[in-house]
Amino acid sequence: MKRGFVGILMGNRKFIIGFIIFIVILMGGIIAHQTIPFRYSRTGAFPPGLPPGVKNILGTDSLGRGIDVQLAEAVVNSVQIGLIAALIGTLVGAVIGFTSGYYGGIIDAILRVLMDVFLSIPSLLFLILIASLMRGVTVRGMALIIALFAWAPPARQIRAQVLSLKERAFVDMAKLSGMSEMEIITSELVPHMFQWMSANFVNATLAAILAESGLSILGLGPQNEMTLGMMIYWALSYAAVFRGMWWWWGSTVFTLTSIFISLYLLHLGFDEVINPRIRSKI
Amino acid sequence: MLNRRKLSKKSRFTVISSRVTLVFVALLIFGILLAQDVYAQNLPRDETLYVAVSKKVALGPKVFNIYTPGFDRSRTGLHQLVNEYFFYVNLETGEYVPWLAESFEYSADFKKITVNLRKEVNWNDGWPFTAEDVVFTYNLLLESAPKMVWSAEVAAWVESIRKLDDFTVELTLKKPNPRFHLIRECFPAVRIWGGVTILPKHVWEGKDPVKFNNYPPVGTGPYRLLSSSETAFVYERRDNWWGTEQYGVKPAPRYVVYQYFGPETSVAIGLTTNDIDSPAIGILSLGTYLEVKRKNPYVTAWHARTPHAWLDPCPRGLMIQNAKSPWDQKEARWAISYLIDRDAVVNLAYEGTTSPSWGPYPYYKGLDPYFATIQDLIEKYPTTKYDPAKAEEIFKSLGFNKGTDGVWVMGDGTRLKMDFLVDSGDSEAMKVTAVIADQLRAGGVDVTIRPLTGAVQSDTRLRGDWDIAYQPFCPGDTDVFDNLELFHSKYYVPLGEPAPWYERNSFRYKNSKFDAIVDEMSVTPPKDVEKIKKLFRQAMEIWLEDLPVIPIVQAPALVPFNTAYWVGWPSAADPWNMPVNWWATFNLVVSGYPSPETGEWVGGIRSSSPR
Repeated sequence: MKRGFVGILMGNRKFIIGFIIFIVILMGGIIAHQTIPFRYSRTGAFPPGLPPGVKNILGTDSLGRGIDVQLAEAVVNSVQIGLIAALIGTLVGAVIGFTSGYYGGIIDAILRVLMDVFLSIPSLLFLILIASLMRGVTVRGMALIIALFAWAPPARQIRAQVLSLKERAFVDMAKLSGMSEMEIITSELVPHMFQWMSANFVNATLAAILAESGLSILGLGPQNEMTLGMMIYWALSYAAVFRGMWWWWGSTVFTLTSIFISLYLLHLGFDEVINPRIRSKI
Repeated sequence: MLNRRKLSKKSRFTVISSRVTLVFVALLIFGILLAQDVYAQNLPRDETLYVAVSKKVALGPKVFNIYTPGFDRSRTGLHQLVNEYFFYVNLETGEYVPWLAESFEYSADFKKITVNLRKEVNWNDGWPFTAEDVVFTYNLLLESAPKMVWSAEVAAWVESIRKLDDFTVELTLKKPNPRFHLIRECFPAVRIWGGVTILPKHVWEGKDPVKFNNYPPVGTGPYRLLSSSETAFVYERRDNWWGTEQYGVKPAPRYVVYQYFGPETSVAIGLTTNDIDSPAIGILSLGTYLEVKRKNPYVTAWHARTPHAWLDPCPRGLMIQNAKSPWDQKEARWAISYLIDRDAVVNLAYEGTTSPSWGPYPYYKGLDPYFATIQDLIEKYPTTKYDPAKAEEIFKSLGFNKGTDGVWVMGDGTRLKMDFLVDSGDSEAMKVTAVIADQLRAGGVDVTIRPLTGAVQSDTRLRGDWDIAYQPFCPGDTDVFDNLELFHSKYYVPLGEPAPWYERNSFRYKNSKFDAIVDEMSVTPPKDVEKIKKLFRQAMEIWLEDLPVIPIVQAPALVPFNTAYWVGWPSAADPWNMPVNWWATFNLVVSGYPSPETGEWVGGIRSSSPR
């Protein structure tokens, strides 16, 4: 236990590989986004449909925009959507989960129904509805829409954990030593759940990036900013696959897949740290 | 003991399940054979015309009631092959082709219209087609308004109908209208897409017109329904069609199939392997089409080369909200027009399949005489010109200053913002919106694209809750009146209330001088060409100066044809008709038609290897 949570994490190979891939993509995106002039992402900045070459490292799309500059902007925005949605989802989920699990009674009954409702309705349908009702979806707006459905799974899980934790001796001990209910939640229960919440955060980020892609492919993404989903939307609407414009869809799919793999590795790493039984032998 | 019983139970189960599997496999094979028989019917390929539709029909294969809301008259092939109309307008040549009717005549006050029907027409069940059928159909529509499709429009215009003799009917209108014969919702003449359909009285009489399925459909057309399934409608040529008896002409394909083959890729493959002769509009994108053409040299379109596409009758314009400041000033609207590089729109959003448009009309030959009268006006008001310097000049003269971020700012500090509404389900509009938005941003306008979909989008558009929106301007064809009437202030409603239709003044333009000219035109018969020309010039002078809508491009309709089995398709090289398989006029494409001037038979597709 001396090495601590972070220490164990840093010793986990999956976590480290995932972390490096993720940081490389994100930093690459941020640096490129800062250095490549914005006007290259405007329609008609280049001749349309150029394969990768000296002038355009990753080629151009059918609207004459550089793929490289789009990709840089898309990575930054997509990751931003993922992180914001996951953060809100996890935090709101935690508050609701702890409240519901710890206090029980009528509060629990109401919150449980709410969680069940949000867990059972097909979220994509609602996301489509909400996205189509919003006036001009921005990257942040998109994150909020997705966060609306991201809190229910962690809330349900945390509630289940809290139900078991609150029956343990250390909670009784804390009660006897005069701690208030709030103090018990924050200083006794939250630390127990923190690792699990971190793992959930990573997973929620991945799910949010996926949800953004799904919505954008339907044409409901942020039209005024570029995201990975919007890049796929444009590639599809110009039949890039059938026409062999591999640099367009290929670079987007590769980036999206790399982000997924890196986040999945991070998630696996967290899992192994939290649950020593599945930790790899090596 | 226990184990053995378990085992035997298990083995018994295995036997049963394998038998069940066997039965299932047999059923499946039988089903596939049966289905193949129904679908393909072993139709000889060189005698069959295959049209690919873009989706399955909503009401299924057994509903053929053309007046049922939601019935798909194009994707079933019904109004092209089974139903026929009094007249067909050939937009390419400007001809008004008599078909089920021989002629019509207005009374002097344009309150009555008398139609003389063709005498030798038969329904496909052998009954004669007479004035009784026409009177029955109009009365049915009048009685059931507004429950049947277009019955409300008929009820709005038609006072009554009566039979003068077996082959003559007289319609009395509620108010004078010299263009009644051009309103497709009220009269059985096809200009664009379709028209009112005359029903056989002997079939429909006594039926509930809303619930009746009309299966199998009875019509006067050259084909009758042979079979129908969820995905395919198969029609067979009639040997006793009146056209054959009258003119000795047989449409070349013995069978015509309207079929759903699947999404874009399936249709692309079908065209490549010569399984499809003509796909509907909107299935293949230009890139996919070019790829198909590269693989199969038999595939062509209206133009064999760029721009490939035919001109759809609805040119595209950028609606600008005239009821909002600063867009209520014509100078501001002109500044926006100068900021748009239409060549870039054509090259990027349309991949070169169309051309910039100076106004709200399609470039059809029939309209050329009218356009000729305003050539000097088009030069004076250069609506297709890209001139950012001029736009800058205008914005400065309107009191705008450029802020540090390059966006125009009013004296009171408000930034020049534009809310750009777009239908997210419309891939063409999405592409154009992306390009125009970037051009306006480069010109110092802070544009926000707002994609909406479904009823929300439609409602927002009608209520005018936007600054700019891309829009097709329909109908526009051989008569200049309709596209001017769209801008009449009788369709003006205040912001926030739904306009009658998108291009029917949801941009809220108002000019009483313009209204007066259109009003005069509405009572001028289209035959009075010289007067119409004069009025057209007067109206366009105001329109061009005011620029209530910013014209962008002509509308491309990319409709490929396969010449492996069928040749003689209309094309830019031989523009004898419109190349559209979803309009009722496709009847004329398949069969050809007698020229109204010379009586000579024109066109009709032919077999590439006649037997």
